[in-house]
Amino acid sequence: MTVVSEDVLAILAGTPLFEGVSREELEQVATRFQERRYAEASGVVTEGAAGVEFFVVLDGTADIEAGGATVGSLGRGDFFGEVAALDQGPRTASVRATSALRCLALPNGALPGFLVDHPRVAVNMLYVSVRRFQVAMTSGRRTGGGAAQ
Amino acid sequence: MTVLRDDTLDLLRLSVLFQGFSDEELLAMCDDMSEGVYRAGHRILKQGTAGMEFFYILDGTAEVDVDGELVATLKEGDFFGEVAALAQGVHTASVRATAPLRCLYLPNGSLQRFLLAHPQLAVTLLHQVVRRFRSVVSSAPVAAAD
Repeated sequence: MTVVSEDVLAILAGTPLFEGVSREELEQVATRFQERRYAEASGVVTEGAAGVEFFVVLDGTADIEAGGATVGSLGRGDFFGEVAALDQGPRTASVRATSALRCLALPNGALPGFLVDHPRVAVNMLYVSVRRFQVAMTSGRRTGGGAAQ
Repeated sequence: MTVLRDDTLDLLRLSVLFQGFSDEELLAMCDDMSEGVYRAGHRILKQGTAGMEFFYILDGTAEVDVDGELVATLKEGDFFGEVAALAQGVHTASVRATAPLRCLYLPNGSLQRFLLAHPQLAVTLLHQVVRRFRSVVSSAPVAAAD
């Protein structure tokens, strides 16, 4: 049983991902995550590599890189790693810390079950994922045919 | 209130998207939805135009085009329109019926309210959106749906 610190709960309560989640549920949520720290410039996940952890940024900043280009940036309350965490495929992008970075990580393979237990989080994540899809479709990042349904 | 066809409830009971819904929940859901039938060749969504309707295919087939290029085919049990419905932007693709297409659809903007009432639906939608995301950012084949 992890002891959840007040500052972590306060950060989570302020993120769009956990909007509408009660304090009681948030405490349950937080116990499922582990805290991780990364030095500036270190890689957190690597495009093309295996890995199914899911991350939420508590403090610090990071860049999202795909195909050698920076395609986005992350800060407090943002999440990443959800694509591989949900479909078990290789990472679709790299994430590199651009400052000291403190994250919560949901261990390997736990995200699908976590979302079933906390469907309001799935609703919130869906909004962000749809926007990320929209950006990928309109920013020139689209490389695949998208034919697999 | 939609007048449901006799087999609509049967089709919904079999759907992956609405798995776990009781008959009462499915019927309540249908109150929010309308049913439409489109002839083969009809373009239901046009890329670049605004619109926040969300469609669920009860029967038939459709093609998804982006910039004139076929990117996916859809059949019964599939859905479309979720990007513009949730991100409030323009449609990222065009959808055209390739056979008579029977759909349930949620009117403009009501998907958001609907998801809050049925949050478990978001889990299934999220898996599909992630799969579609991977398919557009990766040229590698996408694993089959599980």
